[in-house]
Amino acid sequence: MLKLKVLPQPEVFLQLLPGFLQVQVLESLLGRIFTSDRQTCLQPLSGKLFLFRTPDGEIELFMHVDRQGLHIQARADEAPDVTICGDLLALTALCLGLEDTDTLFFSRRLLLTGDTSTGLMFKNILANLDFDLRAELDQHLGRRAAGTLWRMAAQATGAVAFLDQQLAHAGIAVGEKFGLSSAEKVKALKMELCSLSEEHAALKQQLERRPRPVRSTQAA
Amino acid sequence: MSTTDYTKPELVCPAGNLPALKAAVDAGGDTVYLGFRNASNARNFEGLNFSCEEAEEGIRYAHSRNAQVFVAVNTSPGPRNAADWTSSVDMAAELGADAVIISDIALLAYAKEKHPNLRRHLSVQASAGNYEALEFYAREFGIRRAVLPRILTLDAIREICSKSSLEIEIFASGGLCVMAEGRCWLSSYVTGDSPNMHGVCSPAHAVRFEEENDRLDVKLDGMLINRFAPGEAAAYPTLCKGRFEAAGKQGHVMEAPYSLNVLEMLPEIFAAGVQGLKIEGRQRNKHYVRTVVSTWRAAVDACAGDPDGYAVQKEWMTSLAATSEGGAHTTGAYEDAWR
Repeated sequence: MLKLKVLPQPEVFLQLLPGFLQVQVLESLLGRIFTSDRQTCLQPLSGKLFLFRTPDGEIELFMHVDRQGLHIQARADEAPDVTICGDLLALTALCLGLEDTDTLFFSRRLLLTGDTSTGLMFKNILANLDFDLRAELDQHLGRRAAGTLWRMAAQATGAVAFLDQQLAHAGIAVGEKFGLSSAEKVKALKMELCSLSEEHAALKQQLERRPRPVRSTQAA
Repeated sequence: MSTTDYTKPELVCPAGNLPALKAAVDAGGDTVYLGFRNASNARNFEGLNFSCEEAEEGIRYAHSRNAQVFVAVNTSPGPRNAADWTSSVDMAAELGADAVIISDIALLAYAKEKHPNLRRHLSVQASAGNYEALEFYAREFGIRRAVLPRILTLDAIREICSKSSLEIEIFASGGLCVMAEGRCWLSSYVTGDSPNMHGVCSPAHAVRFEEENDRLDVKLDGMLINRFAPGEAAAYPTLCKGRFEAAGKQGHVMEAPYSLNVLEMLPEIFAAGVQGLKIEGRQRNKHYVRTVVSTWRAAVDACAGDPDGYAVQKEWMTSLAATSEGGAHTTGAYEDAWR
């Protein structure tokens, strides 16, 4: 068992969210970015179908653009024009402009397949959006909740480096020991974190089942 | 080097859109360069660059914060479509840009005649790499600054700076080209488009990425030009950075995907009299621009404040490496022994 000296940060838990919740995060993110007044910038993409998916294929979300605007859907009958593949952290970073898309591509955290022209157009439309999402989140969610969400999204961009740091803290150089690639190291740590999370849940259940000590209401 | 021996060069920063322009200015860029949304500039990618309105807002934003804006009109028109190029020069003048960056001699002549008060800079795309060529451009077209091609050693740059009355700008950071800027037709053999006339090395319509079992294949017009193993860092899909078989070996036969970084040479560059340090990357977003410009701002200020005590900080290198193509840096031709 990997013993972590530093508690996992929010972005790790973001990745550990069940698939259906990750889809909801992505869906609400796209909805929040492309509000009705901003959908006019999507007109060059009218008629195009995008698929967002995670590398393991567990999460798939379609985005269709037409004259009326943007439509998010769980399924599509036709093949997408563009597939944007990355984990939720990379997709979040792409949508919010928290990390440069080319940087994500160089590090193999994001890949665009299909019609590259359309994909590039979408990437540059996102990059050209000039708005203060943080201020909007503050307005809609309240400053405290928005602050937490924002911190998670911002931290998401450094997730891989963070996981490597965790490995270093744990004193186990998994990569060097087993000759694993960085991606495999991350997978190994995620499995460990899942395991820790399950243990934590089991422990919590046990604690909840234990009879509570009777508290005396009498003054000493 | 004493503090009186150098000129503090200005940081000339990339902007492919308005958020990136604002990020460059806010991060301490002295100057931002941009292009309009057509083939008149060497970053003609889908959805990139500025409309007239966006450029107007960008110029207003930069000027209100004491930053300059240069407009790149640095490709060459074909026989029948010169209007896009001349109108781009006109638009730059009307919007109050501080300079136009041009490579084509007919366009330089047009700009000189129509807008004599608009500063003209010679683009790297003109590939003018010697004093005599620069003098020709200065005499005939009244250029005030030249962006040197990335084929010169620092000795050669020093010599040009000492002889020329022009301001000299060099590339300091970002992606590299093969050593034929403005004369590279490589991609046109595969795609029909070239950076010189269409503003793109690898037009997106010809690029396809295909992944199978974590192996990434990159194709240009159906031709396999690169293959990345699982987990291997990827690079731009340009022909010059493709991997091919030559003399029985597979590898980068033209250029490896390294990024230029001359942080360690800053005191010598200051002493040479270079007046502009150009950061490449108009295709990158505001996050990249903010990161890279703030890093270079810190380095240039540190070198200006204490050139003798200047030392490259580890965090500068880390932040540049994290965003660079190939994750590896080079000082390119600047340090090479060859000329």
